[in-house]
Amino acid sequence: MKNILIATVAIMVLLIPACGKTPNNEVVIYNALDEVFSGPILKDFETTTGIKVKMLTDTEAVKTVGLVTRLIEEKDNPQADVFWNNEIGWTLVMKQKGMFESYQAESARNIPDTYKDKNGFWTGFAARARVILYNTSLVQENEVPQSILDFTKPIYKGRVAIARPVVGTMATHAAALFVNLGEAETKKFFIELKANDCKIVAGNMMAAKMVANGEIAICLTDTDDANGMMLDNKPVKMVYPDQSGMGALVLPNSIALIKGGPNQENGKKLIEYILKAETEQKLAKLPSAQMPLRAELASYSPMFNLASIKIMAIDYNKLADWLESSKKFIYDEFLK
Amino acid sequence: MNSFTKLAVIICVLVLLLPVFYMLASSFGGIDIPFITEVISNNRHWILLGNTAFIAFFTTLASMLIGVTIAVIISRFKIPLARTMEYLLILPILIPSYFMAISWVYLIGVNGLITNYLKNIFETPWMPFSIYGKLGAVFILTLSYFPLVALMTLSGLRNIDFSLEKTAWLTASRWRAFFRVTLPLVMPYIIGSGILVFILAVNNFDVPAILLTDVFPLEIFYQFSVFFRTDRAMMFALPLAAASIGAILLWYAVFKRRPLFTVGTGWKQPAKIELGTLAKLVASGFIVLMLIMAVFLPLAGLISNLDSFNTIITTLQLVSDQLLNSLTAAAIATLAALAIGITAAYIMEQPGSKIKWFLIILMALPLVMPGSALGIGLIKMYNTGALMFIYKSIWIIILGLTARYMIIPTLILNSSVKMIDPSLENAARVSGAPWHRIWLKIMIPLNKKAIIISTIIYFILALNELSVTILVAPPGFNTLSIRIYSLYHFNKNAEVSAMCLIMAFIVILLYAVLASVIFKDKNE
Repeated sequence: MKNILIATVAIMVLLIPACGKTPNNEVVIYNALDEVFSGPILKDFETTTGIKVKMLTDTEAVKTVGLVTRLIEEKDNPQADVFWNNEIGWTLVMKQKGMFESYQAESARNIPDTYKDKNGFWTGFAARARVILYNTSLVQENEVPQSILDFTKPIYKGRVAIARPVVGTMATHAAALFVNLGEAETKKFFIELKANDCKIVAGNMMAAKMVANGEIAICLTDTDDANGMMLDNKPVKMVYPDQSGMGALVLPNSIALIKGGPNQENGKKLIEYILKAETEQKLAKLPSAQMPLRAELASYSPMFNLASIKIMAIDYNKLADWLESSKKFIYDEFLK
Repeated sequence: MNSFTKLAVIICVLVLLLPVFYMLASSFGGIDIPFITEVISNNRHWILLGNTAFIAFFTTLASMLIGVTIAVIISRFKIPLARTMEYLLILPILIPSYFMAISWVYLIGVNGLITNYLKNIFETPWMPFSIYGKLGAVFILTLSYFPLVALMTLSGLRNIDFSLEKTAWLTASRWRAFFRVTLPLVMPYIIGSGILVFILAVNNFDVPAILLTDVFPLEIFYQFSVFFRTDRAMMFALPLAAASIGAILLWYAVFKRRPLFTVGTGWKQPAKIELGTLAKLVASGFIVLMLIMAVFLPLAGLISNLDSFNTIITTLQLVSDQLLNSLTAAAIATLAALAIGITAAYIMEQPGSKIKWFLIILMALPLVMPGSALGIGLIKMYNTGALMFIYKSIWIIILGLTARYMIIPTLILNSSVKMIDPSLENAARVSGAPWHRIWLKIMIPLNKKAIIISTIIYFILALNELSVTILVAPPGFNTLSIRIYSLYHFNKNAEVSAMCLIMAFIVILLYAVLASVIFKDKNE
């Protein structure tokens, strides 16, 4: 028994140094996009530049909150150089908290200005869109909702699921509605949605899975989740909402340089690399079907081509202003 | 044990608790009376609290009934494949409870396999009960947690002197002797495991979320993750923390006296009772049924997700770094927590010990407070100056894991330590044996079964821990739990299943090795 304990401790002690090595020429990225998709890109960067990338990933299960909480708590002594968010909402909040350094990447010059902060605090690329996903066994073609505002109609009572509109892309979507529809109209929509027995679930993927498994007929989710279900040959189809109205919300990945990060120069090099057209093209070809913001790049399939979608016109500065009060309203009135 | 060692362990505990103290001080520095009034007057919070109380209470009750029954059957009756069944009992603890929930939704959800099968037979949607809601949450959490009770009770049943029960046979029936002599002796283990289940159930919101039921921990999540109000999150955590600590203190108050009987070395476990055919069928059938519901169905779900056996090999290559990281951190944290746990358990049982109540409350704090709070506390304490080398290394995770669950081995080992006759230690001391020899020759051997069960439970919890780990893992240092949750979101079911199966294999192997080393006596 004693020998086993001594041997175990000895092995552990030997293993520890391998876990804590820190090379000098490095860059630290806090990355909300899954390692499966971002890992090869960062590996290429390492090979090309010789700069070691240390990545910290998050899980959508906690809605990027792990990384954001950490960045905020580390604000006085930042450990990260770059923040790669798989959407835009938290990036806007953190910009407001003064956590980013301005950096206008040369490689991002052909990304449309709509998707870039005018002062260079963040840059968008490779987007997802919010879509309506429905189960083809449970919803007839003639009753597929064409607008998210349709969700309040009696025909959809108890048949729609959405993620909690206080976290993730659903929170950003709620704030976008406040910007686009106005305060009174948005509040009315959410109150009526609640009255129509809308199911509130933990996340977009869970909502998509419920639709795929026939537990619920319709949900509001993201294109990557919808594509995942379609690739699994589930009986689902997706539609871009509000194509004859306000348009579908498009949420780009966003990248920002952390103020006071330990390797600022390497951080800028990494941002330049990630924002290159080649990188956006690689992301577009993955099963997450990220939609390139550069019109000249090929999309995953025609279904995921931004040029063929009516996009919701959104002022990201206004959206940022609405994020907090939108969450407060949702928490106080919709989730009560 | 000399005073220096006791002092060293108490200092270790205090160091582990520094982030907790920091968070308590910063959160309750300015009590927000208007907010508290608003919380109390809001009906939603009372409904959520009611849901949480319902789920935690009935999960604990059901887990204890099922767990104790299984432990008694395995330890006292001759049934086929008893040891195999015991090993299999580890699996439900290892499979994250949300997997269990998802597997059961696939089976008996609105469009589940069994639901549809029954629908075809009866031609109408028919299920005896809905998986959604509070009852469904109790059902799933019971399947996840009853093995904790079973394994801890088994450990207790093996730790007592069977000759006491045997003596009682002279004047009472076997059943009466069991209920009047043996059961009271293992009661600290049973109630202790019940408290552990209660703490885990009261803080779980993954399973209720999947089953569309809102519970009180959701409010803590909102405050932390939506509004970034750590102070308010801590206030919301107070009722749950108070309930958990209250349960632990009640347990300790009830069992504070040493049992009249003691454990020791060398005695045999009882010869197992031969059952009639029908009774054997019922007893084995009950365990098999529970294992089917808690192990085989979720496991079948996991295996069915694999494209081929190669998925396990490719996944192993994909996550080998994370697996090594997780195993290293969990192993070191387990050893540290065991060392602290057994010492704390010993200190608590010293005659005239004045700090035992205080020690229990202190050691329970990291478990009963939200994991995110502990994570933030660790960042605040260690992301600075001279301590940065800890923050940037695996040690920050080890500190977090050790602090988070250290009360669990303490409770389990306390149940065991309090059954040891102090005269054994006193005799050794009077004979001039140094303290470390007393520990190696008396304390550790006499507590070996409790040590094994603590090791397994702690190791599994440490491997699966997410809420603290995700906040403190150094860049470039990913763990398996973070990877599993992440891949699960991205619908990588095959890889997730492969990772769960790899973890299951490792933990069962560990249990088998430990058991073969310790259970040398064939009768055990």
